[in-house]
Amino acid sequence: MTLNWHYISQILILIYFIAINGSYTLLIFLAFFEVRHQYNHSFIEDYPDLYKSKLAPGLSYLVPAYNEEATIAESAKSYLKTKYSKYEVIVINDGSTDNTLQVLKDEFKLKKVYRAMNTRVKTKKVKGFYISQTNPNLFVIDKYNGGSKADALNAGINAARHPYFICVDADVIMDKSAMLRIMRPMLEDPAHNMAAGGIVRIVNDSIVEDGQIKEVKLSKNPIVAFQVVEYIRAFTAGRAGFQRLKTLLIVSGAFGVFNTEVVRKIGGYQRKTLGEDMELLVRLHRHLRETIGSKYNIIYRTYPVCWTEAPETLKVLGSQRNRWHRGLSDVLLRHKKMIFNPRYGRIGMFGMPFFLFIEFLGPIIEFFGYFYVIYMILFGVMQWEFFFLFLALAMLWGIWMTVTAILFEDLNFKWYKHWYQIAALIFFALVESFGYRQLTLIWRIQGLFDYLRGQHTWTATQRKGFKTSNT
Amino acid sequence: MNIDINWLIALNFFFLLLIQITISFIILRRIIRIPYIVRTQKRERYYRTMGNAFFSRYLRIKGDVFKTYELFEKLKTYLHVRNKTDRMALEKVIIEFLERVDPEDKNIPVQIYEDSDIVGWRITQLRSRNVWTRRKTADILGKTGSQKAVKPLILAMRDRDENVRYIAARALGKLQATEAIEYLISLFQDLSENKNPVIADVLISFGQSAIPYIVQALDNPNQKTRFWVVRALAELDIETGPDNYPQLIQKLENILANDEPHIKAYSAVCLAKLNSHENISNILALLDNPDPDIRVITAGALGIMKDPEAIDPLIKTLQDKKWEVNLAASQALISYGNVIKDKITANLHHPANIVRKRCREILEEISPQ
Repeated sequence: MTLNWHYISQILILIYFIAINGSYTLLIFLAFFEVRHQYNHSFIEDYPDLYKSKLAPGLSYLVPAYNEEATIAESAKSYLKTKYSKYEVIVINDGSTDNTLQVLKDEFKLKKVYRAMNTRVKTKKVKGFYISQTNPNLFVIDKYNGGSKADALNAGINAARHPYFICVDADVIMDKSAMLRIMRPMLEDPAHNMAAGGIVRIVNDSIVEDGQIKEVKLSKNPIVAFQVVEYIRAFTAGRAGFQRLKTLLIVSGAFGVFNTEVVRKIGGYQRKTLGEDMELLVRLHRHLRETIGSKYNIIYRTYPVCWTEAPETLKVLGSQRNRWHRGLSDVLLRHKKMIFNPRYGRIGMFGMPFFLFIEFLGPIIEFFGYFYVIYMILFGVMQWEFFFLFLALAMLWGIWMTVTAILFEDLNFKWYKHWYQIAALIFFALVESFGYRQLTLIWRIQGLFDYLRGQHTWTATQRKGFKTSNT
Repeated sequence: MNIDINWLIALNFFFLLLIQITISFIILRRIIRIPYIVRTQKRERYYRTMGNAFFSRYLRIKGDVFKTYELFEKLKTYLHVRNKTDRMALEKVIIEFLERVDPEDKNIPVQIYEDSDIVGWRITQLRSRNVWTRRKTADILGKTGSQKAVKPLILAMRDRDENVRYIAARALGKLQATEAIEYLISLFQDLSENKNPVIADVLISFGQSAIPYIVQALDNPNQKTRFWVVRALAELDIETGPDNYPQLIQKLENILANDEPHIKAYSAVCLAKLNSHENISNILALLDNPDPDIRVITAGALGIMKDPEAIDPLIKTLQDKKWEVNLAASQALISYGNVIKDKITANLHHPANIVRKRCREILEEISPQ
């Protein structure tokens, strides 16, 4: 009996199609309940008073800085304005070749001191430790460049004196109440809540005043608008769904709180990966599952918001997506032991397989799908009616999921107040599959090939800076 | 592959319909809410504008009781609270004002809130069948600063819903209602554990007024209650009041001798703040407890106490394997100041690397160059 490869491949495509769309649909439904639950309970948790709390656990802000002389002083000042009872801001000057350290010395009257630092987490050698004579909450580490942000963060983890730390990027804006919201679970249950993350949103073209978002605007740049749609789908729907299933595998590097001691125990951030934020969380899950089973929580809060700048050109966006896919590939390879391993509970049986089959293999399968279509046309076996209907179904299903995520956004967050902004988001959701999706597919495939070729370098993203109400 | 084309057509129509429904819902929702939003925002603008005008006038005549009273009576005639939309709009504006104004000026918006029928209306909502209404009402009553809400909120602390009790407790903390302290303490054993830190925070916010109640609660048979009251007590300024609470030291010493280790550790902090050195040996024993959290708290207590007997045990604790414990010991030793300089210098060549590091750090702090 000869195998009908054509038939088998069609069956596999169908199974994969149902699996990928079914999984996302499940996440959307779960996200609905999770977002409503968190929205309803947000006022019960009373974030505003937490800054006065004497019982709130201390927090170390880790601010890695490489050649940030233009923005580092303002950035540090914005974190020093934090309304929280116990915190420290640790700026890590990661071997900058510009005047980053001098700017900090001049601005904050730094004095070099000796400070005993934990050496459990590997990092490049520290040249010096400074305290500020004008602000007792600011500390600066001057170290040799370790080639990655992870290395800088590890130095900060070694120096941190509080039970929790948060890694912040110098060019990210945090909502005023974001810190309070994200620290709340740590106050409530410090024994079990190990890490927490929040939503990341795109700030391009929004008005920023005094370090806070004054008005959220949707960028007129279609490249950015497509990314806004993606972020809404990924954060509002995707991650909230994972949170409901307790299989969260990423806490955004731009905005995540971690238990300092536990992260030290697992060796801090992995320096030789491009997906250090995801890698840390997966390793955290792995360690905790192996040591204490399921008696821990990694929390995703749909309310604390952090605003970041999205790439505005195709070149930069492509580079970013390439890097993300390389990071994903690396994490899956490093932790392949967890995939379909019941020892790791839902993480091993759902979370990791999801990322493997859908996020990692998805672009490959989709890419070969295009070739398969060409093959069918060339060999005259294409059933056009079936093909167009199937294609339409795939697109409509995807569009429905994105539009539903936009609905969640409008129901719960209302960041985009004007009707035309929502209309624009819906428009971009409708046209996403006609070009933008294919571009991201190419970048991700390139990322995979680059990873297989051993390319692990990280290129800095060009930043435009935030628009203020004066511009 | 023989998939019936009709199924595909049906599925396509299904998703097309779903997309249309979702988009329509987004649009219609905005359109339907427009009249309500416009009406509410109009009333809010009215109250805000009027409030700003009258408040700036108030600031000019502040101190003149007669003129202030006249102005206030005039303000009330302009408020026109007619329906639920007006009530909620005015309430929102009042809460905004309360967040902006200085403490000595808060009585004006609170009085407006009380004199209009809003506070009475809100209090009746505490008896609503809808649990979300009761929760939101308790929360809002706390923000509005009206003392008329105290007794109803104390009653709400017996609500069948845990979150209503919790929010009512928080609201009473915001109102600084000392008559509620006793009921707050009883909530420790009643609420789920993740809410207790907040209740303890509320207790701490009462300051010295909470101490007599806490002293009474130190004998409470419930361990959770004892733990949280001692925890709260450790954060209060009790140094100035030991003569007022003669039983306090005795009860704390009793806890230190007999209770569960975490409670002992916090009672050590309290005794340290009260400058009671008599049970130093019991406190030093906690430095050997297997739980690192207890060792950290104890080191902190010894740093407050600054007892000479604790110096050597603290130096020994610099070798502790747990980073946070040896850090706490280091910070405790720093608080001793220059008196320990010789002992620290003697340990600069200690065989353990961490001890050498910590000693260097301590010397840098106590005698900066």
